[in-house]
Amino acid sequence: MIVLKDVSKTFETQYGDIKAVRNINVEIKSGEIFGVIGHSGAGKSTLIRCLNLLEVPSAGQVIVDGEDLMGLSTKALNQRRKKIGMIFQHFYLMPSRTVMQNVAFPLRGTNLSKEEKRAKVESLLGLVGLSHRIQAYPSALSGGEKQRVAIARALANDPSVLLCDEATSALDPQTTKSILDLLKEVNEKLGLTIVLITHEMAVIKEICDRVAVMEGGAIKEIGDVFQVFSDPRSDVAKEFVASTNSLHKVYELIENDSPLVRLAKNEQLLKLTYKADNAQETLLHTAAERFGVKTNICFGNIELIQGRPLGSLIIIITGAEDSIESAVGYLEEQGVRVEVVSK
Amino acid sequence: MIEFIESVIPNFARGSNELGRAIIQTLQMVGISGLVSFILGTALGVALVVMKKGGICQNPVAYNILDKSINILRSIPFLILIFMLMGLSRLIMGTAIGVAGAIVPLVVGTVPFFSRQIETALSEVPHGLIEASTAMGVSRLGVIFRVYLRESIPSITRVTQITAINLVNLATFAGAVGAGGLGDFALRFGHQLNMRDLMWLTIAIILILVSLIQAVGNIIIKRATH
Ligand SMILES: Nc1ncnc2c1ncn2[C@@H]1O[C@H](COP(=O)(O)OP(=O)(O)OP(=O)(O)O)[C@@H](O)[C@H]1O
Ligand SMILES: [Mg+2]
Repeated sequence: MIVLKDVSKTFETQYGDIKAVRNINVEIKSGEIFGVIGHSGAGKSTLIRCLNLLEVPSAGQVIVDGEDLMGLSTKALNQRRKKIGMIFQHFYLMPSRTVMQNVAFPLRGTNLSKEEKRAKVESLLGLVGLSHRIQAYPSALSGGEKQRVAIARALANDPSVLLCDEATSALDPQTTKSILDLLKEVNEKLGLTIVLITHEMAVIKEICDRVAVMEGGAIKEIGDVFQVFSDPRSDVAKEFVASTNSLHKVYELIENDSPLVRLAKNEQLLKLTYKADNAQETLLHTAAERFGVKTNICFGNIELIQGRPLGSLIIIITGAEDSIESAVGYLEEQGVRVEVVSK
Repeated sequence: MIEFIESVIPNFARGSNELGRAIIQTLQMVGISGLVSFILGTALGVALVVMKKGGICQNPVAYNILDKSINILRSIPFLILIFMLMGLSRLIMGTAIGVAGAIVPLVVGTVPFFSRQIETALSEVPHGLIEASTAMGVSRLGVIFRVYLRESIPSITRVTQITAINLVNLATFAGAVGAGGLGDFALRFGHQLNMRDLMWLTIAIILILVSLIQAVGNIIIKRATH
């Protein structure tokens, strides 16, 4: 378990102080995949770098598996860091060393024999699917392969935690997916706690259990990924969630007075968010029949988050005002979140 | 063969003994002061890089002192260094003349230049490699040897080539303090005795020496670059 208590980091620069991270309190559970999302400059990197003291917090405590890192001597900290793996956006493999030597790099000074080290490296490369490139140099690898080597290297000392600083930001969508799958796999196989930061909601959606949304150095919202997706509270979270589907286009259409969303007098534009366990078609149908309204779907979207479907719809509902009100009431009763976009 | 040499270098027989000694003296000067300068210069170059702002042993005061001292030493002309350092040379080497007497000024003339070049070479190592190693729990000493030095072998070799060639040049000056060597040989035989052929021969030998330094360096660079 990782506990951050009141962690702050202020950079003193010649232009004044920059508060990159402000009073962060988080508990990251063992074995979970914890995501941190935020825009550029939100303080994500600074925060994750506080977890292994690459950045020493100006205030607060960093407690990893019960140990207060800031209380450790340099030597003890170096030992501790071996149990906290880290990967980076730009991989940072040693260019003068082969894949084999790169993965063996953190094993120096351990009491493994030469053969044991070799066996360890081979099993790690097997895990990340790169056994056939063991003698290659990093310059001969693709970005995705480099990140795999970096993951193998980060796992060399059997860490309990893996920190990922924008680990997929330099990769194309397909490679990103394969790296995320690999992270998920090591998370499950090795029971590894993973903390990953990203500015892409798709990454969070793909593998995280919980997410923290950061802005201006502070955590604005934190919760289960499904919960944050289905019911974002803060403005930043709403914006990130909106960025994952095309529903936000409706606002542009309204702004441009598109005929698609132009409303007659007795019409309203609604956004429905539903956990698709409650079958939407039937609900809308029932509402229409029972309250004498008509519904017309403009946009729809269904996503799988943590294996659960989450749907959203933009509909135009037609009917008398009180009928619409009753229909909305009915839908809400059935667990659908309804927002009036325009009327 | 001998006849051939006689015809191209008529004065070869008269100078050959002296020449052999001169070559050995030059090799001694370049070899010993080169080795010492390499170690000292590398150490100082590393010190500059790690003590710089943002370095792994950040220390602005020590950095500034070292930085300024190197600048000052670097700007003293070598000929003046030779005379200036006679006292120091006597203290360290027990003599201020001969090959032994030339070592101290050669080292002092080489180290500031070389440490600057090492500093530049090591600065080329991406900061991310240093961070990644630190995150892996590698100690600062480990970072110096296993990352900074190891990862910049090609650039270190390149600057060593330049410095070594420069050192051959400085070593010819050292003839002035009676250290002998090829510079002194060329001066006495080529110039004073006006044996032009021996002067050209000296130049050819220095050319071979320089080419050798280049060749060995290039092999190392080639093998260390991936
Ligand atoms: N070493 C530093 N010195 C001064 N300011 C810094 C330093 N590192 C980061 N900052 C500042 O702290 C703030 C947060 O930076 P940080 O790198 O943590 O953001 P981020 O969320 O990771 O952004 P990005 O998505 O662009 O990587 C920024 O305003 C940045 O300029
Ligand atoms: Mg960042």
